[in-house]
Parts: sequence; C-alpha cells; structure tokens
Amino acid sequence: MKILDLSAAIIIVVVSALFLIMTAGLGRTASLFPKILCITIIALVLFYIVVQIYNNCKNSSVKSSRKEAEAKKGWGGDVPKSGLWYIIMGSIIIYFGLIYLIGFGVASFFYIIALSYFGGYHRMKMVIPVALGMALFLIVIGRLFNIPLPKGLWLILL
Amino acid sequence: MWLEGLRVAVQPMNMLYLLGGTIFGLIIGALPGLGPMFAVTLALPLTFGIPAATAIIMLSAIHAATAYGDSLASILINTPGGVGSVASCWEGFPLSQKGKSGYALGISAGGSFSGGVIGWVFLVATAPLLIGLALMMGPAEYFMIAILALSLLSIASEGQNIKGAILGAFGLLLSYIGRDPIWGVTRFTFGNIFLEDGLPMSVVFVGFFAISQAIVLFEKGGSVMEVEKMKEGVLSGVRDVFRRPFTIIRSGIIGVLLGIMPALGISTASIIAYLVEKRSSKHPETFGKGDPDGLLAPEVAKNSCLVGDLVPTLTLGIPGSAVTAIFMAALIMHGIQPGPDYFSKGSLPYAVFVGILIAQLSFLVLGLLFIGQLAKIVKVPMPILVPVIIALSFLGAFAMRNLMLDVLITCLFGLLGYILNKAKWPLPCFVLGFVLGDIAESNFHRALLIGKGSYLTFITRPGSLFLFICAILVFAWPYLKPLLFKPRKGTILAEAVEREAGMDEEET
Repeated sequence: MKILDLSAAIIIVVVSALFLIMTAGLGRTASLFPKILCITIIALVLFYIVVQIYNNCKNSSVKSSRKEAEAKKGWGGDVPKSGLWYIIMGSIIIYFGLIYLIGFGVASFFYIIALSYFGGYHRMKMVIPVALGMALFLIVIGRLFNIPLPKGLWLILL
Repeated sequence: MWLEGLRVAVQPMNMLYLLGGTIFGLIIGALPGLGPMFAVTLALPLTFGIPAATAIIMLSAIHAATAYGDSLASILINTPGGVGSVASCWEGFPLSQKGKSGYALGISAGGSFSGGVIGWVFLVATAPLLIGLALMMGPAEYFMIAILALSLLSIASEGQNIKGAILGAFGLLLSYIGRDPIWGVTRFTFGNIFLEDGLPMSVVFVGFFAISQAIVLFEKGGSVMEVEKMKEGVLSGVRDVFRRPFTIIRSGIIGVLLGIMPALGISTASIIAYLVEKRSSKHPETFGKGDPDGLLAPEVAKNSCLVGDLVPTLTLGIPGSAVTAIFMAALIMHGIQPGPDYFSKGSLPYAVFVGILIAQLSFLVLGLLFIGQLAKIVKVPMPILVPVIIALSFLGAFAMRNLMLDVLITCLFGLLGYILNKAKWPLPCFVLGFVLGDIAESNFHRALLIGKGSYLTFITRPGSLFLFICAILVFAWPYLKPLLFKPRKGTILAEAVEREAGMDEEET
C-alpha cells in the first residue's frame, strides 16, 4: 500500500472518528446522518486497508521483481522525486502569513516573484511585470467590487 | 406582446447595459471561485437607478455570462471558476493539455449557448407544465432524487468502488458541518461562529481543485500545453457542438429539470449531466482524457439549469436558488411581482424574456471574439502561472465572505485534494457527496416529519417509489448488465472475456 494512499485513508478515518465522537452530544435528528456516515466511512476504510495489505502479501509471494520492491518503498513512485511539493506547500503558508503582515496586493507581488524563482524561472524581466500587474489587478478588483482585502499590519500601524 | 417586448429589449440603452453586464459577468466568472451568486449580488445595488427592463436585462446578462466565464478557468488551468464548472475541468483541461484549448473553449461557448436556448425554450413553452411537475415533488421525492444522484457514484468512481464510496460518504459528512436543517443545532463547528453556515461550497472546491492542481502543475513544470502547436480553433469547437444533438438535448433536459426544482442548482446539474453522458457514451474509456461529449454535457446542463431556475421564480414567485432569490428581489424592487399572473403585466415581462435570450447570444458573440486570445494562457510557463492561480484562488476564497478563515479552509482542502489526487482517488465522488449532502438530509427529515415518523412515506408516494426503484436499478446496473447481456459466442467481446478468464486462471 502506498504511503499517499495510506495518508489519505488515515486523514479520512481520523476526521470521521472525531466527528463520530462529537455526535455523542447531539440530538437524534442532528446526529442520525453523520453517525451513519462516520461508521460507514470507518468500516470502509478499514476494509480497504485490509484488502490492500492482503493484495500486497499475495503479490509479493507470487513475484517480487526489483522494480516492485522499489515501488513499495517510500512514495511508491507516484510522487516526483524533487522537493517541489515541500516548496509550494511552504510557500502557501508563508504567503498566508504575509497577507496578514504586508497586505494582499504587496504579498502577492513578492509571492509571485519568489515562487517563480524557486520554480526555476529566473527571467526577472518577465516575472516582475507579471507580479506587478497581478498585484495591481488584485487591488483594482478589490476596490471595484468592494472587497475589503487585508491591508496588512504595517498599514494599520501607520 | 412578444413584439412589444422585443422592441423594449433591443433599445440602445438596454443593449449597452447588456454588453456591460456580459463583460462584467465574464470577468467575475473567470476568477476562481466567484460564480453567478457573487456577480448578481454585487450588481444588484447598481440597478437601483435604472429602469426595470434595463435592470433585469443587465442582471440576466451577468447571470448567463458569469456561468459561461466560470468554465474558462476550468478549461485552461483546471481551476473551477465557480461551483457549477467543476465538471468542466474533467474533460476541458485534458483537451487544453493536448493543445486544444481553443477547441475546448469553443465547445464551452457553443454548449453554454445551446443550454441557455434550451432552457429559454422550456421556460417559454412549457413553464406551466414544468411547474405542475415541480409542485408534485415533496420532500420524499427530493430525498429520492438525492439517492438517485448518489447512485451515480458507481460511475464517478471509475472502477474504484471502495475508494469512491469512501470519498462520497466523506463529502456527505463534511457537508453536515454547520447547523442541522431541522432544529438548527450546530454540528462540528469547534465553536467557530463562521462555520455555523457550513463550509462554503466554492471555497471547498477552489481548494480541492485549484490549489491542489496548482501544486501538481508546479511539480510537473513546463506549461499546461504538452504539445508543440495548438490544434483546432474556437470555431471548430463551436461547429462540433452542433454535431452532437443528442448530448445537447439530454443534458439540456437534465439541466432544466434540476433547475426548476428548488435547491438543486448548477453544481448538481453539471455533475449529473457529465455522469449520465459518461454512462450513455459508446466510448466511456475516453472520459477523463479529453472527451468533447464529456465537456459539452456539463456546459449545456449548467446554462439550461440557470434559465430553468427562473421558471419557478417568475411563474410561481418561488426562487429556485439563492441567485434567483436575488433576481426576484430585483424584480420586486422594480415593481414587478413574480407569480401566476406574471404574464398579465404588459410588455415588461416579455421584454425580460427576450432579454434573457439576447443575453445568451451576447456572451456567445463576446466569447467568440476574445477567447481565442485567452486560449494562449496554456503556453505560459508553470512557475509564473502557478503563483498567479494561487493568488486568484486566495482572492476568490476571501471574496465570498470577506474572511481569511475561508482562505485557510481553501489551503486545507488544497492539501487534502493534492494527497487524494496523487493517490489516485476518484475526486468527483467527493464533489457528488458534498453537493448532495444537505438535500438528502433535510428532505429525509422533512419527509419523516410530514409522514409522522413513518418510513413508509418514501414508498407510498408514487413519485418517490418510482425514483427509489430507479435508484436501485442504477446501483445494481453494473452487476445486472453482464447477466442480462451475455456476449454471443464468436464475437470480439466474447473472445476478450474468454481471454481475460484464461489469464485469471493462469495467475491462480
């Protein structure tokens, strides 16, 4: 069973178990559907894990080529070997924080430049106008459609 | 009266507002997460100072153009522009990857236009009949419709039945966050008042599809287009639409029927139309790889549903969805009382009807003029495109309720969507569950309350019983089909089955 498959199953089971516990404090009507669903999900996920483990054991006893053995290690071959996944997830968290600190428009400007750079695109003559245009677009859309985009702490302090 | 209505509708001032509304709708629609609801709400205050016919024509244009604009982002960057265009990603984006973004946008434009016209014809010709049908439907029937729609999980799961069932159930479960529809008890909100209204659908879908897709695209590198040259243009896409009359009619009817039923909106219509199209297709294996039928079906259903939504709003005074509720507010504000005697109020109602039809045409013309240029987005390098997608997704998530919490929810669903995507779980099942959760639960409890607690209420009503039998048949169809249609000896299919059986024996 691949790690990502297992991660997905675990996330779903944990959320369902948490919701199942929370249904204890609810009335009969409010808890009926969630309770049925939580129990169904947990049962199905457990069944799925058992089936996967059984299949893995069966397959490994029949034939065990080197390629398969490699595939079972770590990410199971589905995820690229590069660290781009971590870069982009980290960047999203930093972007989220930056919006609070320096505002939506300015944060977007720096975010686009930084992510393009880390993504391997170093033609700043191309990136900076795009980032600037995007930041301006966001600010204009915010003003035009009356969306109170976060202005950032520094503007509030000023 | 129709001629008088046409004369009012085509006045230069009305045409100008129609054009403005179409452009506004296309811009809002193209932004991830922002759909017709946002656009029509935003434009409502702008209609205060203008004549009634102009106001309603402008809102109709915004309504139709936003729904069409929603598909642009879905097709080009696999990011749903709104809740109604999630299904458009599934075939539209693979077409873009093949260098057929112009062709896909052409199908979208032609399909949306056809859907709008079908919806309009139904609206004009069969409104009283459809209203009769809608009035026959009670909570028991609505619950059974939800069950029938959930039975499509077997198609959405693409052979991964357990994973599909888990994700469908998980989607249903997450749709129960917020107040319970009968007693108003808050559930799974962790004390956060902003979660009491539930997880906003557009915020969840933007995260689930846009953010997760952005991560996938960033890893992939290059550009969206995987081939050297762009193939087939916008016009060939539009031409191909009219070569598929059965898809148009089938999806148009699905859209209208779901549109006239309160609470079943464009998100449900487009997904069901896609799955029905896949089921009725002679080549279902091409779905998910850029099948034009699979793109056309949700596009037609979405716009026919939008116009179908107006049937109960105008003729009964019952809004079919939140968007049409705003529409109704605009009508009342301008002195038009929707209801059974709607057509007896001079030429104005007819002008509104003509305006709705012209609105469909206006987004088609504007779309055809500009989408050819837009299609070139697929050539932009990923390191530039991805941060732009993320910034627009954040904007879309934030703008719905002006809350940073929604941006956080988008991020969390983005991560979940990414993991599920990489582990090859069938994501459409989650969408189906999430969309149908509230409809299933609220109508189940309402039906029980009306039936004084008796479960027989679901099978004693003819409509409900019919839908129940349909749901069972759809569920059982994959198992019944091989029993009912055994391949004849000597045919290619029979040989394939025998070969497969032989391989199984060898393995054991």
